[in-house]
Amino acid sequence: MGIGGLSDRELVARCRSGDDEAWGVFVDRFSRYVYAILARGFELNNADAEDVFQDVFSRSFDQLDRLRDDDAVRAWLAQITRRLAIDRIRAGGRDVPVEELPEQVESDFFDRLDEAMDVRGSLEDMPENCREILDRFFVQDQTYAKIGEELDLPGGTIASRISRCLVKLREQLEAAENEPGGRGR
Amino acid sequence: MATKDERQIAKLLRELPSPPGHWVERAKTIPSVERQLDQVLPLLESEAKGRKVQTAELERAIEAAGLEPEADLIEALVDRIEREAGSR
Repeated sequence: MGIGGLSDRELVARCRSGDDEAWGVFVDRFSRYVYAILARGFELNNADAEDVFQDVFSRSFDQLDRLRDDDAVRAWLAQITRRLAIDRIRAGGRDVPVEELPEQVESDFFDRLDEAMDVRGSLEDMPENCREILDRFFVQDQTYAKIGEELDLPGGTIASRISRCLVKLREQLEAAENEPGGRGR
Repeated sequence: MATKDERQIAKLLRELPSPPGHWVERAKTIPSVERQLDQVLPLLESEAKGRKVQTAELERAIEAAGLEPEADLIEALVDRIEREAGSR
């Protein structure tokens, strides 16, 4: 198993010990999550989102020693991200009643993101060919034609491949959910 | 999490778009930048107590630590000084 297959707990321990490669995996694993909170949850503009994104990873790197439960790193990151996003909104004087912001963003949004992260985790565990085609189609919004061109696949086979890979992903997700303790990460 | 069909899974995949690549690459450099800052800060603090530090001073301290005074490093240094001042 490569370093990318480490559980959150194992990954945090490696980061804490000063392993730069583990830190790279940490950033890869949680960058979409942090970005989604900033861009979709708090609707920060691009420049603010970029600053806060860097700040979130910088703070989390500095404060890893203070994380009490390494399995709860995702929730901990969400907390840091939320706090820094609210600070940024306050500093910018955005015309929104800021005391309402945390509740507003929390309603269902974080639950949905957690589910999305679980799906993403299962996707990362899939074979490269499925991972790539699903990511291109659903996340990058590429057309069948572009996917076919870039992956050198006949256009007529793309839809059926996506469909097969989605079925596999569902099966993988169900298997992960049935493991003791839920998903392995 | 309740069992999901393929349509719900596809929808959840769309919930997590990738941030711009350069954001991610920059975040990955945090450990090495922090190590560089650890080298530079002791050289700076002795001459910059209680006053706003000028860019030229930052550049001198970075060079004194044997590093290149690149814009990203200067920016990270300013951020770190502000953060530490804020936490005092």
